[in-house]
Order: sequence, then C-alpha cells, then structure tokens
Amino acid sequence: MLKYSALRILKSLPVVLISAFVVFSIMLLVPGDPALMRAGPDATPVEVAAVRQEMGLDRPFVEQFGRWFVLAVRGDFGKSFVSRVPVSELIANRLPATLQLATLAVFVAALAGIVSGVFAATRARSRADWGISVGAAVTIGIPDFWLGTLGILVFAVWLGVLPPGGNADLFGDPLLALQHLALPVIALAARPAAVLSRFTRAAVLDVAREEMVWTARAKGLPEWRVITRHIVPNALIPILTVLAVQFGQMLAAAVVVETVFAWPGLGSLLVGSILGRDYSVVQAVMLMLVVAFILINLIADLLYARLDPRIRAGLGK
Amino acid sequence: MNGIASSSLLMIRRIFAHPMGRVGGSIVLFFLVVALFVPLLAPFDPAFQDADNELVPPDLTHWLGTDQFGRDVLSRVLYASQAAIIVGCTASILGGSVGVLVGLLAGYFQSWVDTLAMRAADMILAFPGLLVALLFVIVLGPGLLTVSVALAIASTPIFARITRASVLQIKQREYVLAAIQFGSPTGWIMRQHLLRNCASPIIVQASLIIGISVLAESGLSFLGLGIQPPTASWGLMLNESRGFLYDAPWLALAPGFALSLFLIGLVFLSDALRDILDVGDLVEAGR
Amino acid sequence: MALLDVRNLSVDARRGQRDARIVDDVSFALGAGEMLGIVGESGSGKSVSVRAVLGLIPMPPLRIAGGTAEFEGRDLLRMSARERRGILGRRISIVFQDPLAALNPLMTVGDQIAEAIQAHARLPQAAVDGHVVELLNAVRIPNAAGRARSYPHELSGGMRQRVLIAIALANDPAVIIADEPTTALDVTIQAQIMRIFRDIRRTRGCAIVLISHDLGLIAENCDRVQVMYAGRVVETGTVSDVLREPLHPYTRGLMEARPDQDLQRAQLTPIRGRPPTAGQIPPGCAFHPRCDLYRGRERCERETPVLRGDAAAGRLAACHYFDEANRGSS
Repeated sequence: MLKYSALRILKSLPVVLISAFVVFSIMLLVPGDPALMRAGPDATPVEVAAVRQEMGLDRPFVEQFGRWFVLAVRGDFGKSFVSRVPVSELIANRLPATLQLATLAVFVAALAGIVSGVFAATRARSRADWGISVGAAVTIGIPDFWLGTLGILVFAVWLGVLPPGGNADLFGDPLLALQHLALPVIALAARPAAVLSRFTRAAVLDVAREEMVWTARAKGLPEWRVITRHIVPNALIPILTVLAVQFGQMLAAAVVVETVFAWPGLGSLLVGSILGRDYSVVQAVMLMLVVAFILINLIADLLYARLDPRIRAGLGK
Repeated sequence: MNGIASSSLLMIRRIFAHPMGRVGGSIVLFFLVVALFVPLLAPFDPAFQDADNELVPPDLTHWLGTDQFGRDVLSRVLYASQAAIIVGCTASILGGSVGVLVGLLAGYFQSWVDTLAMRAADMILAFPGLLVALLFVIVLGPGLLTVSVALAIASTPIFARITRASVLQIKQREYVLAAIQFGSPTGWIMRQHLLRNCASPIIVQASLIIGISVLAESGLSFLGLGIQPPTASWGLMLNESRGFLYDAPWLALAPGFALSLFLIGLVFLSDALRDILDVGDLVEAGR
Repeated sequence: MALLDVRNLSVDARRGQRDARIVDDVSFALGAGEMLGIVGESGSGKSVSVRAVLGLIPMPPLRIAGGTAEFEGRDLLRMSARERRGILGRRISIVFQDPLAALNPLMTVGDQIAEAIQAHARLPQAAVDGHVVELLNAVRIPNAAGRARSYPHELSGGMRQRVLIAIALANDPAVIIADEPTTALDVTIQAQIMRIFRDIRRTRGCAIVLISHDLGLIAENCDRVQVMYAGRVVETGTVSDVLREPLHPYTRGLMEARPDQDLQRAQLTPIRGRPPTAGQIPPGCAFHPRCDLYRGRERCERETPVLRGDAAAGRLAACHYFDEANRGSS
C-alpha cells in the first residue's frame, strides 16, 4: 500500500508541472500586454519598459515560468494587477467559502446519489425505480445556475425563507451559515447526484448478477447484509471513479454557482478577475483548481487501492 | 448516399419507437424546427429595442414580456435556440471529426503517435470540460465562434479515446486480421471495418456532447464569457435577468425553462440512443 | 425416510411476453449421508432445479411454477424467506462452479468463511477464528492460519474451490449441494477436490448432491444417479444399475460419448444433434429428434413419456420404448 501510494504520488507530479505550464502560458497568449495594463494608460514607454523589467517579462519564457512556479509552490503568486493586493491574500480570503460549499455539496451529492441508486437497483423495474430514473434524467438536464436562480426566485423572492445570496461565518453563526449554504449546495449537488444515482443503479445491478452474491445468500445472510457487505462494496469501486469525476465537475460548476449566489469564493474571484483582466489572479486560481483536480484524482486512486486488494497487489498496473 | 439516408430514417423510426426516445426526440426536433424557421415564428425582431415598453410583464402582445431594453422575450428565447444548436453541433461535429480521426489513427497504428495522443487526451480529460473551455475562451476571447471552437477542442479527446478503444477491440476480430493479412488497403480497412463498427459508441457520445456543450455554453454565457450581446443566448439572458429577479421574474423563467427543456430532451434522446445501439450503460463517465 | 424430498418441481422462465418451462416435473429424494449425482448437458435444468429448491435463483425472471421440497418435515418452497435463511448455510449448503466468481474479491477468505459461521451463531471472535482455521485444515489447505488472511485472487483455482467448500462446511450441514464443483478446474485438481468431498461424507456423514455434466465423475463418486434432459428427469437409479444397463436412449448416448478405458472402445460416439434450448423444446418426448429408437413413431412426437419402471427399487426411465432397446442390446 505504501509503495503503491508513493508511486501514484510520483506519477502525478509531471501532470502538475505540465498543467502549471499551460496555465502560465495563458499570460503570454491573452490579448493585451500585462506590463501596459499594470503601468496604466498614462504611462510613458520608459515607464512601461521599467514595469516590464520589474515583472520579469523581458526574460526568456521558460525562465519566467520557472520563477513563477517556484514562487507559486511557496505560496507567492505575486500581486493583483488591478488591486495591487498580494494574490495569496485574495485567495486566502476566498478559499474557505469555496471549501465549505464544495465539501458540503460533494457530501450531499454522494449521499443522495448512492443511496437513491442503491434503492432503485434493489427495486429494479418497480414504480419507485422508474420514478428515480426519470427524476435523475430530468435533473441531469437542469443546469446548476438555472436551478440556483429558480431557488432564489422561489425561496428568497417569493417565499422569503432563505437568503438570496452571500454567506455567513460557519463557526460564528452556524444556523445562518447553513441557511446561506442551502440553495448553493443544492444547486451544485443536484446534477452530480443524478449522474451518480444512475451510475450507482447500473453498477449495483451489474454486481448483483455475480455468483458471489449467491454465495452470500447461500450462507443464509439477510438480504440487507448481502447488499451492504457484498454488493455495495464491489459496486463502490467504479462508483468512486464517477464520484471523483463529479467532484472535479463540481469545482468547475462552483465557478458558475458562486456567481449566481454572490458567494465570496474562488469561483467568483476567478470570474471577476477574468472579466477585469487581472491575469495574475486568474493564473493563481486556475493553478489552485488544477491542483485540486489532480489531488481529487490522486485521493480517488488511493481509495481504490484501499478498497480493492487486487489493485494494491498490482501496484496500479 | 442512399444507404446513409435510409439508415438514418430507420434510426429515427427506432428512436420514436422507444418511450424515452419519443419524448427526447420530439423535444429536440421541436427546437430544431424552431431554430430553422425562427424568422417566421418569432413575433418580433429579437434585437428591436422598444423604449416605451421596457420590463412589460407577459401580455397578449408580448407573450413572455419584455426585457430592460424593451426587447420581446419570446422572440429572444426562440432565437437563442439557434445559438444553442450551432454551439452543440459545432462542438460535436468538429470535435467528433478530429477526435475520431485521431482515435482511428492512434488505435490502428499504435506507435509513439498513439502514446503521445492518448497522454495528451488523458491530460485534457483530467480536467472538467467547462474549465478547459474557460481556458480557451480566456485566450481566444468570448463570442459564438470562439465558444464553439473551445468546446469542440474540449470534446476532441473524449471522441479520440472512445474511438481508439473501439478500434483496439475490433482490430482483434478475425475478419479484420484477415483483411490486414491479405494486404487490403489501410484506408479501406479503416472505412469498411473499423469506422463502421465503432459508429454506435461515437453516435451516443456525440449526442451526449451536444448536451454537455450547450450546458457549458450557457454557463459561460451566464458568466459573461460566452456569447456576447446582442446575440440571443439562454445563458446570456439569464445573466441579464439577474438584476431584475424581484421586478421581472419572467426574464429568468423563460430562458431557464427553454434551456432546461432542450437539455432534458437531449438527455432522454441520448439515453434512448444508448438503449437502441446497445452501448453499455456503464460508459457514462459523466463528463 | 428421505432427508430432502423434492416432488414435481417446475420452474418457468419469463421470455418476453410468455413463460418457458425450464424445469418440468422434477422429483428426487436424498437420504441421509447419501451421495446423489445429477447429470445432464448444460441447459438441461440440473443446476436450476436444485438451486430453485434453495431459492437461489433470480426471481424474476425465473418463477417456481409448482412442486414441493420437504426438508426435515418442512417445505422449503413454501416457507418464508426468513425461515429459509435459517436453513441455508446451516443445514444445507451449496458449492458453486466458478470459485473466482463465487468469492467476494474484496474480502479475505478467512472473513468470508467467518461470515458463514456468524450468519448462524454468535461466537466470540477468537472462537470464530479458530473454527475458520479448522475448516481450512479440513479442506486440506496448507498453512491455514496464513491463508485465512489471503484474498481470493492470491489463491489458485483449486485452493479457491477448497475455500468454497470450507464455507459450505462452516456449520456442519446435513446436505451439501455441489454444483459442477470441478468443471472450472484441471483434471488433477479435480481428483483432489472430489477426494475432499468423499472425505467430508465419510467423516461428517453429510449427504451430497453432485451436479455434473460428466457421467464418469458421478459414476466414481455417487450412489445414485439422476439423468436430466431438457428440464425433465429421463432416468434414475443406482449408479451400478444405470451404468450396467442404461434404459433411456439418452443415458446410453451419454455413456457412449464418454471416453472410458474400461470399455476398450476404439472410438467415441457423440449424440447427434444439439440439446434444445428452453422455449423451443420439441413436443412429445423432448429427445425424439436425436433418438435412435424414434424411427418416425408418432407416439414419440405427441406423448410426453412419464417415468416408469421399478418404483420400489427407484429404477425408472421416461421412454415409451426402452424395453426395445434392452432387448436389442442384451
């Protein structure tokens, strides 16, 4: 297990480097000169050249990347072009809100998706199964930001029971914070939950056909034990892949959903920075997201190995 | 050509024989008709700003009301189906052609090209499509064309991977091995045997990609990073409605329902296609 | 008095809109400590009929259409699922064909055996662990304590099959059903596994039903044999009787199709044609299209033959004309 983990972690390092390189390259490809933007519209050519030198933009591209990456690893992303605040500070202010939203949403999606999927599979071809299937198909068709907007309309504008946006301190006033979280979490979790529910149903039905399930029944085990100890753990391995993919999707979707709810997280920071052409912030947030995806995949792979002794033995092929 | 026409006709017949396909097919067909004939169907010019009739609630003249510039919401919702269909089809046709070609070559020749292409595909697939598209949009700038291209690029590796996997499987079949052994021309083998036999997963994937792309486009447009005004797009309309949720909820409701209906139709349609073409239901990695 | 007495069991399979009968009017009785063989080609219903008795078939699409299965005075087919669970794995166990598919890949074999014990008994963990090691020893797995911590993929096919047998033995059952237990294994391992079954029977006195397509395997191991074809029993009797003088033309065909040194035959004679698939079973005697005794006779096409013969001795066959064949051969 230890050797597997070490190998898997080593394997993800080049991916981090390449993604970081791609993210950094945006800077060069975007229209407009960052030095010109930083120096402001009234700057003289000499001043612009000075800024360019200060930002290191006159150096070879690879050297620029190297410097940026080394500093980024240490948590230094430079300063915002626009507000001149250190980017790390901006991120530190926004990260907790996104983490709260994303972790809660992934938890809700996993719980709702897996439970409803297992339920549907155990009652395959019943009315309840049919209802869950159609419900999931419809939910997959509803965009998260539209569900969020609809939620605001119904619960904030018409019923007035939930706040239309913003967040609250989770540790200072948990109840108020949860009220603020409710709609964004549901908007973010609904689609992944539906995808997961459908997949879980298929995976459970797949495992349920295997002979080992009959071995378990032949032991005289009650059906719930057959399901929880044999069917679900075996179905969980493919489900975990989908959950990891959905978690990644959710982080990307959070960019949109945070904007709907004026949620002060990384996503709305990213959108604001893109619109404001604040590319040092864009780079930093993009890099954070990219590293988050790689981490999610890494954790999923390590979890597989934890769950499946065959992968542990194969050292991940 | 006749063969393709008759087999597509058969396909459509089978879609409408399938209970989910009937619902999904009708919805998608409805939007296709709307997109094609929208100049005849829309009661107003979608860009016409009627300064005397701003934020009018739904009435007999403006069935779905007007927006803050006095534009007719119904006309804009109808016109927006064009943008959605253009983006969806471009992404799946452009991304599909490039991806299938790459996957076909990679799977057939299996040299370093294969390794390189698949590593690149894995790399892109490690990240959610929306984010990949966002990256490209940042570089290329917003707009209908760039969004379509960005989403096509984001979907290319999916097609490449699926095609390659099918090719690897089919290549092992005896008739293909025999054809290779007897020195049949490579291009002919690819067209005759490989492409024809991996059509099913590709078709299902293409239908999924249309939905994913329309969803991504509406998301980008909602952020103001996608389709730009004055072009009508459901996502953009939802974005513009944000300031008027209290006073003019119809501005959000109309495009939101149209977008959801179209996407739900696509989900049902691809589910039906999956059933009809007998592509396993575990392929849904849910990108 | 039979330990397990199955009478007139029928099982239907749902195919599209209509039902196809895949097990038709099957009866068999198993005495305490007896070893009964059920032989037939794949699709003959031999496995389904026995699994149906234990409720170990997917329902739907399958459905028990009739019959009784008395075990220790109670009907297995009419008891509640809960009652049946109390018997399964405790009084009656089953060993499946493909040991890799039949074991949970995510649990150690020790845990899987322990689960079988704990399904019916509350014991302290140490006692369970000790029992697991005993069972692994009983099926002759070397280094039992160490092997208990192995996962199925770490064991060979033969070892996995022993683990399945250990699971079946966990609660010292009165009946073990061995459903093609050696089909997935090679011949030398097959002999070892059969020796374990014979040992179990000798030392524990439990009755065994051996399901196989291999008449030779049954001949070597069983007391009585039941031959099945297209969902019906076509012949039954003691192994020695049946082998000495097969009554049904199908049994005769099976014997001739079997490589057997004792008979010193130069060549094998396969049965011509193919076994019918469920839902397309010929009317009348299901075997008539492949039968040597048929000779175009209308009775074979129209009338399904019932088991007849010496009921007291349990020597029966379902053929209208088996007397002819006997006259012909002797």
